[in-house]
Amino acid sequence: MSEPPISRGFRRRQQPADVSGRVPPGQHLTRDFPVLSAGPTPDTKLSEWTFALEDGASPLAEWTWEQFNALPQTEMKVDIHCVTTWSKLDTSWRGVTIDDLLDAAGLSEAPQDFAMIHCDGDYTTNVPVEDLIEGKAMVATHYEGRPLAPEHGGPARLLVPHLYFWKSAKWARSLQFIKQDEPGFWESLGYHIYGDPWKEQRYAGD
Amino acid sequence: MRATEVAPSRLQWLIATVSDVIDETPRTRSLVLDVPGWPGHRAGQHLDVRLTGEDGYRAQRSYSIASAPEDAHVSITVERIEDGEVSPYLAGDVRRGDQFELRGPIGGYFMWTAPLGGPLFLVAGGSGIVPLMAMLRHRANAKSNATAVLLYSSRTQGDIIYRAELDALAAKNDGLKVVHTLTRETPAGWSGGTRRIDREMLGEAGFAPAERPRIFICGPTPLVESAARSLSDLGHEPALIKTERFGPTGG
Amino acid sequence: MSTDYGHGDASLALDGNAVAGLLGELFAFDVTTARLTCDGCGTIGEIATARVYGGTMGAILRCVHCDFALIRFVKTPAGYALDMQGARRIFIAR
Repeated sequence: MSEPPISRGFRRRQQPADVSGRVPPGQHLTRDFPVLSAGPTPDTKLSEWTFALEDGASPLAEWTWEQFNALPQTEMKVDIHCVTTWSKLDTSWRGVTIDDLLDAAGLSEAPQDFAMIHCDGDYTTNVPVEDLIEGKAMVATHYEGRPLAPEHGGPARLLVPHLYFWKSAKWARSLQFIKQDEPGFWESLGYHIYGDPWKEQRYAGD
Repeated sequence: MRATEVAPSRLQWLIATVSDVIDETPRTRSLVLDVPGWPGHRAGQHLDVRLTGEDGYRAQRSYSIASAPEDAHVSITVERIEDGEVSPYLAGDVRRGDQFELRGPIGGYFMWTAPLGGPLFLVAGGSGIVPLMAMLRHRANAKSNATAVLLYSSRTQGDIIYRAELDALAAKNDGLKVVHTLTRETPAGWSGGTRRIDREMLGEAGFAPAERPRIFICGPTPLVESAARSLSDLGHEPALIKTERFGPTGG
Repeated sequence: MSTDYGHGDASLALDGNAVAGLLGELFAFDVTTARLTCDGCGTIGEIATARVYGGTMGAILRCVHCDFALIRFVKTPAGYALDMQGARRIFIAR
């Protein structure tokens, strides 16, 4: 097969230069915050919103919006990396860590080794428990000091910044602990089961 | 459609060479292309463009085909999206002789051929005019006497794409009426509409449902969805309303 | 049309026309006129009229009436993944 023609003068849009060494391989810096969703933005009323922890089919704990926001709040300033190649540094979030959720549920540790996050709409994603605890993840309700906007996952989204951002599931409603790792929405379609940006684990088999 | 059945096949990437560049408005430009191997198209269809930079970086976008099927060349009309990646290149930097890859034609749903007849009601928002212009160009080439109305919304007078050509087509008095509306300015002496397309405007400009017009709506998603809903509320059969949404993103 | 295969907001979502080229890499027939029966609500509609989400991760085509995912389509370096569990039936005219 012959090589495609080079389009004279065409180049990728200019991005801010990475002087930090904080941008993983194959990524580029952005100052925007692109929106990507697998479905329409849900319209859940805060008065009807709940967040639940489950062990398989067994409920462990559930919080209303008021109850959830009364839990210990943690702030995180992190870099985020989307599999579509953009990275954004120093993003600020506030929410409840998974450690604090386990604590509030009266659990000294998670009942299983893996978790599936369920969201409004049909979105799911899977994360090993090891990657959710010890301050590594939270259910975030605020971004840059303001309530999380709906198109970015408000009222609440999972935030697991050390993995590709599709794992930081928008419109999160429950965290279900499961015995074995199972692929979620994008993972079932060929994206990597784990998704470490520093190992460029974008697709299954990477 | 044809006596002999042709086995369907998947589209291949072809090489397009820019043979002419036409500035339509300050924000839009048409590219006239030489595409050896181009299989021909129907008015309303689109094509995919793929650019490869010297560093190997690739980007791909879809564009509606502006040219009529009868034209010797394929042409597209590109609107430059601010902060876009591909459109500033195609609607700005590209010169005669430049090359890129192209595949098509794509999409048999949003398509009109003269034998289908009219009446024809075309509703365009901004660069949504492009596939509808291909339909009007085809209608003229085919010397069709299908009654047609184009309702075309633009931001300002200077943003109206193909203005002179539309005036000329309407002046032929062959059953085509063109109605313009502007959403951001009202120039002195302007006799067209002065607001966004709404149900009242669609009802006034278009045909009665009993005439069963073939309706094609193309433009930004909010305009397309609102116009389709209005036309359905006015009594037009949903099956006769064909829509194509353009993105505000992509660049 | 000038596209990036879909957006998050329903009010900005593109339609099946936008992903016809991509799906056409796999399907030899014109996908835009293919009619799908939604497994969620039974609505029958052309792929051209479905709403598209997924941005550059993939094409998620949803029923305009109930938002059920009719087709999930992802192209990776290894190949194409196609999930059509949401489309109970597909009809392609000859």
